[in-house]
Amino acid sequence: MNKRSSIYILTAALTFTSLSACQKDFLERPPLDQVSEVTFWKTEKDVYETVMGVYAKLPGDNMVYDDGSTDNAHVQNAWEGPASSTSAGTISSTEDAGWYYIDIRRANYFLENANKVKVIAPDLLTRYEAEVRFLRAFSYFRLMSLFGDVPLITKTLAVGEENVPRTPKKDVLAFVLQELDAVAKILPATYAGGKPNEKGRITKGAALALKMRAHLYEGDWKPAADAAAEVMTMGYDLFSTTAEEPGDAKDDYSKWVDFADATDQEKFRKGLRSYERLFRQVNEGNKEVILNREQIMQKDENSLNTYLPPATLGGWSSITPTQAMVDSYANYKTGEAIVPVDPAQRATWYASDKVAFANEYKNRDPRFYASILFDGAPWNAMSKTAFTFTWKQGNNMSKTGYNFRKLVDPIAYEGQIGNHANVILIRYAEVLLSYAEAKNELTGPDATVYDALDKIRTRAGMPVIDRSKYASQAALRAVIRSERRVELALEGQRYMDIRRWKIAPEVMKSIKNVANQQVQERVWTDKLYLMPVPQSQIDLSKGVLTQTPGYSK
Amino acid sequence: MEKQQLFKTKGIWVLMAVMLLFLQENIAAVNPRMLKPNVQRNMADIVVKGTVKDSQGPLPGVTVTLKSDPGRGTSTDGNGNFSINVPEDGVLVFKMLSYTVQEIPVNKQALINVTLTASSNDLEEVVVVAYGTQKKASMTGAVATISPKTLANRPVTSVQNALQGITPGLTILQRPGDVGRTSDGTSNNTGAVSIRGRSSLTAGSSPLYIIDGIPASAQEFATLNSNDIASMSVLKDASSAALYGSRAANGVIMVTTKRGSGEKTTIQFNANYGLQAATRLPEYVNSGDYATLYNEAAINAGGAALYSADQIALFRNGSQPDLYPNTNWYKEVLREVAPQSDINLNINSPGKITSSYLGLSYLTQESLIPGKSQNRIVGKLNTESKVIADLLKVGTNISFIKQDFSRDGAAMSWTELNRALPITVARQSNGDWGSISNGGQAVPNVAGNNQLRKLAEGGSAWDKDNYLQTAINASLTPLKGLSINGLASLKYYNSNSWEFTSTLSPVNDFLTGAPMESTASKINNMKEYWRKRQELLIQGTVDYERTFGQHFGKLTLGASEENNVTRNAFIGRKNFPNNDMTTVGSGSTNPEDMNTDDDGQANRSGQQEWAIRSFFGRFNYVFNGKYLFEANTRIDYSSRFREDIRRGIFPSFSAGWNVSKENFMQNINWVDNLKLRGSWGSLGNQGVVPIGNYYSMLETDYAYSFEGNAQGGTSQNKIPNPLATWERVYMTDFGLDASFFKGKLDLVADYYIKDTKDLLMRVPTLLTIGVETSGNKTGLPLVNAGSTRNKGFELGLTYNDKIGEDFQFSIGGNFSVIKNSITKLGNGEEFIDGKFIQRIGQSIGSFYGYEADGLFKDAADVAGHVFQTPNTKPGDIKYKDLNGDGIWDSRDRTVIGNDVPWFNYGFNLSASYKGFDLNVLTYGVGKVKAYLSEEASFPFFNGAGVKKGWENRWTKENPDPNADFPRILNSGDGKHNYNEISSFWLFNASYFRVRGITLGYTLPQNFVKKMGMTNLRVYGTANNPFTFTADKRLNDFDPEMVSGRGGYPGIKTWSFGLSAAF
Repeated sequence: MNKRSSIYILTAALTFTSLSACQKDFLERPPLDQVSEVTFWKTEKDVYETVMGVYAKLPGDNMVYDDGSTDNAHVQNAWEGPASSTSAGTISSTEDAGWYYIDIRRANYFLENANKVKVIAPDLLTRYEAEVRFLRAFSYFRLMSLFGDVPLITKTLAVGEENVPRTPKKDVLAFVLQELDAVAKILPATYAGGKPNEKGRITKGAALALKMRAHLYEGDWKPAADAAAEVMTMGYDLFSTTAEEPGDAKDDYSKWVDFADATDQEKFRKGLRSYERLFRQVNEGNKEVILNREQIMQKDENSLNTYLPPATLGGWSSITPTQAMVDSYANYKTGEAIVPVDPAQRATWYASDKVAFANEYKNRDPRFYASILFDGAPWNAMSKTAFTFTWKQGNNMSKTGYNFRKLVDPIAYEGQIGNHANVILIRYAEVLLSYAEAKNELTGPDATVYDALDKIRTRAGMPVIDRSKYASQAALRAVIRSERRVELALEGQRYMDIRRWKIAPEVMKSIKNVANQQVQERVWTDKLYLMPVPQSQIDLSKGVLTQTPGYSK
Repeated sequence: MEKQQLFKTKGIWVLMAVMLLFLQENIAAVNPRMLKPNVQRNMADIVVKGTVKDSQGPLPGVTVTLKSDPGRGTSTDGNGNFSINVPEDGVLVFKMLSYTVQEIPVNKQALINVTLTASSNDLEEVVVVAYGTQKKASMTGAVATISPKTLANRPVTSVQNALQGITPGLTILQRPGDVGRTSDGTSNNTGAVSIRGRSSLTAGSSPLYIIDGIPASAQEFATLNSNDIASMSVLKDASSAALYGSRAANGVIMVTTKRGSGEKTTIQFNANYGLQAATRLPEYVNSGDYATLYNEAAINAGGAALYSADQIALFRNGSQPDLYPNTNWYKEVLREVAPQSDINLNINSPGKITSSYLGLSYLTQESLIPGKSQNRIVGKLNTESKVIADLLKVGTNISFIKQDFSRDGAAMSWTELNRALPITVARQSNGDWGSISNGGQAVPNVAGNNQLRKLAEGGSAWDKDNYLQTAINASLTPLKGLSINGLASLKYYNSNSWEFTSTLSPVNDFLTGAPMESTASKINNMKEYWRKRQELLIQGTVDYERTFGQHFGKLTLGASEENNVTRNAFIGRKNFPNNDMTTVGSGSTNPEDMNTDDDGQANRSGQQEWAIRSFFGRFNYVFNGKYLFEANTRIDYSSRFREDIRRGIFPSFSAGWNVSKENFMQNINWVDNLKLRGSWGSLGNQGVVPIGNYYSMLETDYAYSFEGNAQGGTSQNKIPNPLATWERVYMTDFGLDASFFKGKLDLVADYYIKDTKDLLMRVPTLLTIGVETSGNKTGLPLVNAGSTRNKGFELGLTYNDKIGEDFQFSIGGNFSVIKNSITKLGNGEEFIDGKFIQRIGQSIGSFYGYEADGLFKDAADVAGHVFQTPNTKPGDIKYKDLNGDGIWDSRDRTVIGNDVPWFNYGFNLSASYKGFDLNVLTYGVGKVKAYLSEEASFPFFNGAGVKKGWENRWTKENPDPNADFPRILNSGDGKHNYNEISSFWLFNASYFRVRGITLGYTLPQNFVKKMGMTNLRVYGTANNPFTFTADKRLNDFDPEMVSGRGGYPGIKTWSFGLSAAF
């Protein structure tokens, strides 16, 4: 064959072959690593997993920062959220105080789509929906507490629908309460365990407790007391233990407390350990827990072991107790409030007489030793050798002279693994305290009020309330408030407490350290009752969103 | 559609192979024809010999012809030598691409040595354009050609680095970066290339790279060895780039590599060795000053001094370095200099039937961070075979890239290095790692962040990337003017990254000797990534050209398809029994010891694919060599878009007028060439749209835990936009090419308007939408909602001349000014995003915040100004009440600067005298700002130190309202100075930089010959030796640094090299 012609034939053959070789799907390239909505919403598993997607957004360890916006604690690092400027009174709309809707969209998305799945028991679907509705109400309650009026969104928005004005707070509250009432009728009091009835899911108790909290914050004493009373019949109880962690035995509290006898010392230690161990990973899901945020092992540890301890234990001292917090722990012997040392006197002693200085920390509520690291505090669970807290200044060290130890898990610390302890969001002690408060406000002191408070005191190893001394509503109110502050320290409750009791202007004063040096200048203005909407949102809404009063436009 | 289907992917290889086998049989039968021209002997002919060279040595491949009879000619061999029989009174013409033509009368001389000068505007030059080549004289688009010589032997580690300041309109953002792999495979310090300025709102503005006709990645382009490059063109306007359609919106850079030319085999060897050093390093105050300033900040905020006078004295006198040190962490951690070297060898073998080119190069580069380095081997083998003379040519390209990065030590944290304090001990005198900080205290969490320890004991890592490309092309010319071309390319890319983070034993407390438990790291972990990609391209083009009288026409038609499949896997575990384990099998098998990364759990794999099918055509028409016209169209079908909106059509038109060829120009002697050009066209950009964009995707991950077990969760975190489609560029360009004074002065000028429409953007949306609205986890969809306009002017000038016979020089300057403005932003007028604003009428990259008006001088000044914050005191930043309403609030914000270099320029000088040659490249940008915050500016930020610049700050003793910095406060107390975005923290980032100086010496020929070489040149070169910055407050930062908190420093390199030819 002539070579030229053979080339032509070959070229023609090549072209023909390729033209006839059609690949219809050449341009169809779906991604192979994600699930498409088209093939979803078919099975019970799809429902289960989207519920998990909503649970994933439950808040956790950040609650400790909320105490930094109060007289309980000092947040020293400006870059760790808005607490440092909220407490200083300088928060502006350049900061985001928690304007967050991702959890809400996830809930709405679930509620709109879950009923597409037909192969699921109707009861189970209804229960899942109730769990998600609770989670959505929980999110709205937090938003409302921070900002007052907030856009109430109950469906998934398409792009273009999101510019919604702020709904009046009373309407948001009404929605939250109505949802909680509805789901309380659906949710079980307890779960049997195992998929899909795992312990740790939202219970009826959680719905009622949140309802109680919402009414309490509003000062609606009757429904608050009623909701609390209902939870008190559901079998929850305060956690109590005599167990100790390795190293705990070395803590010699006889240096700090004048024990009457061995029984007294045992009572003290039991109170201390019961209170601190209630939050530990080993006691997760104990009978006091009403709602918690669960952490995935090795994946999403809570950061409390990093936020709270001093640099000498590898922590950041991000949130540290104020002198006012320290002063609020009562006398172990009498159960009465202490009279704080004069700050100038304390500073002199701190500088020159450590023995006299230490006297202030003697004979205090066991919860003081379980919650606060003060100069000389023993905490041997944190070390193979021995650990005593000594305050020094410097980076990642407390500015106030104290650190928190409550919520820190020494077992995780010793293992240098993340602290995966579930973060408790609602516990029975709060219910008892809320009951006491609401009932006292509603009817004045009665036996049920004292009983509730005594339960908490007794668990902590403290003397019970002197019923004759605190027989008036006003006298008991002070006790209740103090008890609430101490028991729920660092659990985020104080943020709303000083606001709803309207005591913020009195208590939000500049703070000083043990050497009487100023740590933070604090200026309270009434705009701080509610947080500013982030400026980016004001900018984008073109006037639809109005700024919280008092903040610049 | 189906009729237009091209080659079936699998079949093509079989067919190609069969074709080659078939042809081999015929090759034997073809008698190689003698290519020597038929030279007629003349009685007066003499043999003239000589050498042709340029400023850097002999030039192979120069055409030497007799002026009176251009048919009589030869070309220089690999050593630049020629020999020709010509009449003794003839005139010899020496021609070569990119050089000025020289005519030399023979005058009976038997030896003529010629030195050619480089020219940037040779009309005979053949320029590589989309799917073909074109003579420069008949070009109508805006195409810049870059001479490979400008890139060769520079001590840079990527081609991108070498391009800065070379040609107008090509901006290289040379952010300093460490030796390490980025996600696209390039090294961190590879410059970001943009052509004619940023126009996209989503920042993706990288041009399309085409190497030997095949689309290439930034990594392939970066690793090209400049000695392998035969030519490089930058297609800047819509007309020249239109044939690349949907991917050409950001311009195209085309490279062809060498493929064997000349008369005989030559071997070239180049080597250079250099030392890299930081251009500038951040300067922090010493320990005594740190303690003093810390006290001042505390007192300024109403607190008390922390460090006593005794302690400060101890810091200053250095008598107790174990307790009161003065540590310069940058000095402790970074190396003063780090070596780099580049060796390459190439063999150029012309052949009667098959010519080949083999290029090999080996590059090593170490980092200023000890233990980090890059090793790169690039091999290239190109062949071209005249399989059947005048009928069929077959070429192949095989290239191989092996790029390894390795790190011995943990990944160093720049943030932690910038936070490391002078009062912290790096190593105690007893040999232990430093444990002391805070003025004589043992501080575990400071000790745990010691970057020296992390580098020494923290682990190790490597990245290994391999590329193998095989390509074959064939060109069939059955009739005069007709050519049929086919190209197939298959690339395999394999990449493997591995990282081990070791357990660390605790640091001992220097005071007690006891180990500080929290400094230990008890769980080690390993991460390993596998990635592979296969890219297949098949394309065919048909060219037909014909001349009828004064008419010339050329038609190109073609089609191509590409198919790209990427697959990757992530595996990893924690808790290995020791730190010497390198594979996953030896890790703990507990479920909680599964490793994770930002994208989720280990033990996952993913696959992404995309494909594109395209048809294109071009028509050129020239009348009488004066009037030029061109039309282009490309049609793309891309898998990235939903089926009904998958097609994109990109037309363009251009015209040119060779004014200098008109009769009325014939008497104007000083103008050699003058051409006016104009073009209009449209281009697309598909790269911004993520794969699978039009599917509504749900995300699955471990979401929550019940009863101690991780539970899978699903959530809808992304809102899809199924209608997302190409971004489109409409570009109008007017250009002028001219040369004057016998080619001594060349000028290229262009004015263009580049309208980018349907820009994909994530329209900023209120948080109430319920998905992440910023960051890389954003759930907002990309919407074709924005438009921008770049109006630009580019000017390039070159002047070549010589003084006497031996001194030649060339001076060039290039300038590019772009006026960028946003013309559409969805339905909005402006969107604020952190420090930046996108606002209609403003440029991309605009900073938005308060205008600072210096500092408050005293209390009266504070009282007299509008109220700012309760904490505002003398020495704080004074913000302007811009709208004058007596209230300082967010309505007083304005555009305060821009971070994109819209104005850039370069001056280049080259000169040679006898054996010496000198090259100087410079580069500058204007009107650019950088926002430096956090550790980069703010004192004590998150435990950081204080920059030296703070020595000139506002103090009570020196209440200067124009001091460089405000009264010193720590970051919590100084929020009103630091957190409000203001022009105070904007630094003028304009600079002028000498990018490169090279001084070379070519050894005399007779000496070199004795050594068995044909050429030997030695040179010394400096990269980035001098930098001039506009802001005195910025003098401890490289001006090309990105706004932010600081990182790897800018690098200058001093190196020495030689190049030899055999």
